[in-house]
Amino acid sequence: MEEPMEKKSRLDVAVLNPSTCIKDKRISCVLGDEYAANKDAVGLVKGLAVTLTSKKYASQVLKHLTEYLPLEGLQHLKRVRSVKTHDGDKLQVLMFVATLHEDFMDLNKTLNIKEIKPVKDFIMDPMFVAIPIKPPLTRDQFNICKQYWPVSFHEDKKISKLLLCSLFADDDMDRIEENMDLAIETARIGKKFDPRCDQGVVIVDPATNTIISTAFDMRNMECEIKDGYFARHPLNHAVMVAIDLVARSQGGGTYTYKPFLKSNSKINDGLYFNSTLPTSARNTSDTSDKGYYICTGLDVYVTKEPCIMCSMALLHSRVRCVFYGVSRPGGGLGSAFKLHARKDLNHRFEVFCNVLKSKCQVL
Amino acid sequence: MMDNGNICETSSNISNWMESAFKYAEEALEHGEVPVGCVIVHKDTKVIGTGRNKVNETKNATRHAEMVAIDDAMCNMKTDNILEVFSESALYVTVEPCIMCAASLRSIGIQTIYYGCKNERFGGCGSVLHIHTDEALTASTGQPLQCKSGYYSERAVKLLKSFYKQENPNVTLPSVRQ
Repeated sequence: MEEPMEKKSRLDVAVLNPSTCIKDKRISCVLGDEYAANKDAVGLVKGLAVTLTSKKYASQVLKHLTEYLPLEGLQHLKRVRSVKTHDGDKLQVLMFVATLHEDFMDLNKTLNIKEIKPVKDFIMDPMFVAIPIKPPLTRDQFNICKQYWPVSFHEDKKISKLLLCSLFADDDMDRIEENMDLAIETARIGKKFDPRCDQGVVIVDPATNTIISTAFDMRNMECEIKDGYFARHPLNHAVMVAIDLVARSQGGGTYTYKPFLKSNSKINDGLYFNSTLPTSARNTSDTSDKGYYICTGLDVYVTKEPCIMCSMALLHSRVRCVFYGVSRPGGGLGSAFKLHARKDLNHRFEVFCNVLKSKCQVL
Repeated sequence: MMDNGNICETSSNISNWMESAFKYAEEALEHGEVPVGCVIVHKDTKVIGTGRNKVNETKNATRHAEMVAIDDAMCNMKTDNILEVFSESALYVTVEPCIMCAASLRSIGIQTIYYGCKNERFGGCGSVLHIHTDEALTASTGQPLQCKSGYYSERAVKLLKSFYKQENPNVTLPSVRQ
C-alpha cells in the first residue's frame, strides 16, 4: 500500500513497442500499447454515414449536424469525406457513431430520425462505416486511421522522437552506455561469487550523474538476513538489493549484505551505496512531502529486463527512468507487462531497452 | 475443507490467523505506516513469520508486510530448504497483496493466500492484475497461487481509512473496496 495522492508522471510517455523502432539504433523506447501501430490501438467502432445528393448542400447539412448531432469528444474525426461512385465524385457525411448514438444505428430508420428531418432531402444511401474512435497518437496510427475515415493528427514531437529513437544526443548516449557498462561490470563481479549471477544494476541521480548504488543478483549467495542469520534469499534480485542500498544511502535500508558489502564500498566493488550524500540531499525539491519514496527522480540501469516483482518495486520507488539491455520472458517492463505505462497504476516512467544489448546478452 | 490430505482448514482457524494479521496491521498504524499486516502459517498449525509495513522506517518502498514476513520466516526456520516450508504454508494478510508481493509470493511457492480487503491501486491478486493465476507466467514466476479473499474486509478498510485520515485530512480516501 502507498499513499493515495495522485502524482503526475513527469513525462506522459507510456508506451513501448520495440518493433517499431529503427534497427541498429543504440537504444529503443518501450512505449505502452496505446502507441502501437495497429488497429487495436486506434479502436475501430461502427459509424453510420450518408451520401449527399449534391455537394452544394454540404455546408447546410454540416451546419445542421454541428448544432444538433455534434460528435462530442471525437474532435479528431472529420465529418465529411469524398467518395467515388458510379455517379461521379460525391461527399459522404458521418452522421452517427455507435459509442454516442447507439439508438440511431439502424439503416432503415436513419432518415426518419427527428434530428435528421430538416436535412432529409439532401441525403441518401445510409451505410455503415468503420470509425477510428481514438485520436491517432503517432504518424503510423494516423496512416491506419485514414484507411477507414479521415481524421486530424496533432503530432507529439516527443513521441515521434521516442519512436525514431532520436531523443538522446550522442553525448547523452555515451553517458547512458557508460552507466550500463558499470551495470555489466557489476554483474561480472557478482559472477565471481556465483556463476549463476547474470544481473547487474546501477542507480544514478541524473541531475548530477552521481552513482547512488550498484548491486548484483544475490539469490545464490549466502548473506546476512537479520541478526547474524546468513542464508540465500530467493528474493535478493539485483534490483531489490539496489533499491535497498539507495535506502541505505538515505540512512535507511533493511539488510547489511554481509559479507559482500564492504564498510567503505567503492563504485567498482559490485555492491555499493553512496554514503557521502547528506541523508536529505534529494527529495528536497520534490513536490512530494513523502521523503521515503526515495528513488524519486533517479534513473536505473539494469542488464536484463526486471521481473514483475522488481518492475513493481521500481514503480513503488517512483523511479524516473529505466534502461535495460535485453528483454526476457516474464519481464515487467515490456515483455509480460508494461507496468511503467499503465494508467491504472499510480506512477509512470520511461523505459528504454537494447542498451549495449549484445554485451548484456552474454552475461 | 480438506486440502493436501492433511491440512484441515476450518473457518475458526482462518479467523484466528486473520486476527493475528490484524494485530500486525494495527502495530503498523501505531508506527505511522500504512496499516497492513500478515502472518505466514505452516501447515495450518504454527505461525512461522509475521510482518507489517516498514516502508517509512526503512526508507524502502518495497518493505511491505509480506516481504517483511518472508524474511521473518526465513530467520525463524533457519533451514536450507525454506522453499519446501513455504510450499506447505499459507499467508494471511489484511489487504490484497500488491503486484510486487503477488509476484514474490508466487515465486517462492506459497501455497495459499487469504486476504481481507481488495487493493484497487496495486492489487496483484485480481484487482489490477492477476499475477497469482496468470498461466503465461508459470515458466518465469512459478506455479499459480491459490487466493481467497473477503476475510474481515470491512475491518481492513476501516484501518486503512484511519491511516489516511490522520495522514492528510484533505486527501481523498484510498480506493479500496471490500
